[in-house]
Amino acid sequence: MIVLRRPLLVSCILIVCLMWTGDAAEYGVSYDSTGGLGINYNSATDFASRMDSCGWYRQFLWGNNAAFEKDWKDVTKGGWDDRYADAADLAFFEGHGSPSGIYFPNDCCDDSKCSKDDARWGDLDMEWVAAHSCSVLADANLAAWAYTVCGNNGAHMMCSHKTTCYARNAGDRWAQLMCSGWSVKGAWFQQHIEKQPSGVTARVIATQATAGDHIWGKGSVASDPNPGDTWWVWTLTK
Amino acid sequence: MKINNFTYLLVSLAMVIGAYAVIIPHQDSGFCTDDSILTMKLPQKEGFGTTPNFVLEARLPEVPDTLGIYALSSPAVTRGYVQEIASARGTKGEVQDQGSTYVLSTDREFLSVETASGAETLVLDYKNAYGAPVKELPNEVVLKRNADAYANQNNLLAKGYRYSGMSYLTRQLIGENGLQGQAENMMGIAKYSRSLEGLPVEGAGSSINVLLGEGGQVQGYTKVSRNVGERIAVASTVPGKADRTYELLNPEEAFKLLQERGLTTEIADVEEAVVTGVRFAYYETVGDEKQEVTEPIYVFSGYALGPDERVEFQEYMYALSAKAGSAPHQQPDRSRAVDRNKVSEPEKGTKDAESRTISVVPLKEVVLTPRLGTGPLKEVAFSPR
Repeated sequence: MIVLRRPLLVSCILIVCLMWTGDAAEYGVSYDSTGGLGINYNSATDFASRMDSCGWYRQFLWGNNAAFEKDWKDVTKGGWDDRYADAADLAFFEGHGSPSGIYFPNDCCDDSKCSKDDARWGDLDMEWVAAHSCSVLADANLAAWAYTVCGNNGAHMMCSHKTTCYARNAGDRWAQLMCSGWSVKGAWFQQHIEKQPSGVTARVIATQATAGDHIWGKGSVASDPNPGDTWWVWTLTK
Repeated sequence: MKINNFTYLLVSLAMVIGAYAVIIPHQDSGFCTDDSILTMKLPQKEGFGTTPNFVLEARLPEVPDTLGIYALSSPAVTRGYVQEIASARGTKGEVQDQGSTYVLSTDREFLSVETASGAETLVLDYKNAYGAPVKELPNEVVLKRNADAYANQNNLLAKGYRYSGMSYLTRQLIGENGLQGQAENMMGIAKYSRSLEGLPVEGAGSSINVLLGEGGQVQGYTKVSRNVGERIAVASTVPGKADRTYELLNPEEAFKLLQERGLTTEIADVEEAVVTGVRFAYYETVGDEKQEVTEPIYVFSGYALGPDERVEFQEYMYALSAKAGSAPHQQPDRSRAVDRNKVSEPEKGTKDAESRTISVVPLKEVVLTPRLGTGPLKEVAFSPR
């Protein structure tokens, strides 16, 4: 038995090492693919497949009538983002938008719009958020998205559009590039250049420090911004 | 047997009708109604509160006598094909099959080719792409010269492409009340596009972009460009212009349809839409979709007004009456695909120290959903921790 002790010990350590996958970072996705092309479904689920393959844990993937505004609304405002959007490091919304919010096809649990007044992201876990939606980051409410929603709470970055945009499989490419080592911002602009027609404008808001963030495990990540840090907007019109 | 004049007349009439049916296939009111070759699809999504009052403040375009409908073709993309492109660009490494794309990625370079269309992307120093440059960006003349030289050296510009302008990645400060100061240019994007029958080709396709970063140096390119083939039919407001003549909507009819249909982008919540431009164009789609035909479309541009002030929009519409005004593609109702009462809620999130561990997780195979499949979509399964 004594002879077998050392090989057994080594085997056990090896098995534990092989089985351990670490505390994976989490992502979450909500999408609206009702009443139109199923491309938003593809964008959301392909994003999820890419992030799964990248070793990320799926906190949530809700679509259409199963996607609730409350999943993105702050707990202090009556939402439950502490289990969903803000419980994920990376959150992706695929659906309609306007400068004041993102829209959900199901208004069962509150209303259908998660507005800039409802959202407080980063006070729990969220680092990066993207809304593949029209005009969320238009000039009208930029300061509110930057400071009230993200910066003062700890989120690092928000990606969306200044203008209207077209329903495209943006999620697949964005995730593929981030998992290949592109920065979060670089991957957002690259998928934009490839997928949107001329005249459509993408935007990213972040601090100088967090603008160069990569997703966990794929490069540098800045520490959480502090309330009062200055935010900037990067704009790219194709 | 004696045949009277009336019978002759009837037989003649029958022969004319028969000949008409055989010689001019699928014609109704003189226009071709067989839409089997009209496979081009526009990105349309049913709006969310987006059937506003439309106001027309634009001059309607003149309708051409005919507009062609053209075949498009794409290369057969294989690992070998991608390897050839990589060699031509001086890039070395192993080509990986990543589902919808082939990718060759090194520490410095990222090359990918879409299997559906052959669309190419090559970016140098991709890990810092779209980042902050150390050196100042030169003026447009220098940027264009660098982009032209790179495009010519690498034979990027297919027949018919022309320089169509420079876009910039800009950075601007956000103050407490909105934008502050001036936007600074961080990066240039030299754009090349093409036209067909004198009309621009719109959409994400027919687009070659050269990325210019640090000090105006070329950082890479993207190219979505299918080959334009023969003219397979025409569109016109007058029937009989060719063997296959499809009815072209006139601008007044198109605007009326726009009013009925509303906006179909990802826009939401608008009350009034002011159309300031209406034009004809052709359409080439994004690189991750197959496209075998291009046909004329209408492009309406303008601004929409709602509770959130003013939002610019650009709206595409089929210009062929066989397709114009058609509703966005229907899809199976998945509204009850997931009953959230039947799945357990995830735990409350915590701030975690991801950087410790994530890098040890190995990459796995990627399984993607089929592109624009028409079959029933899968249920979305929630996987509790």
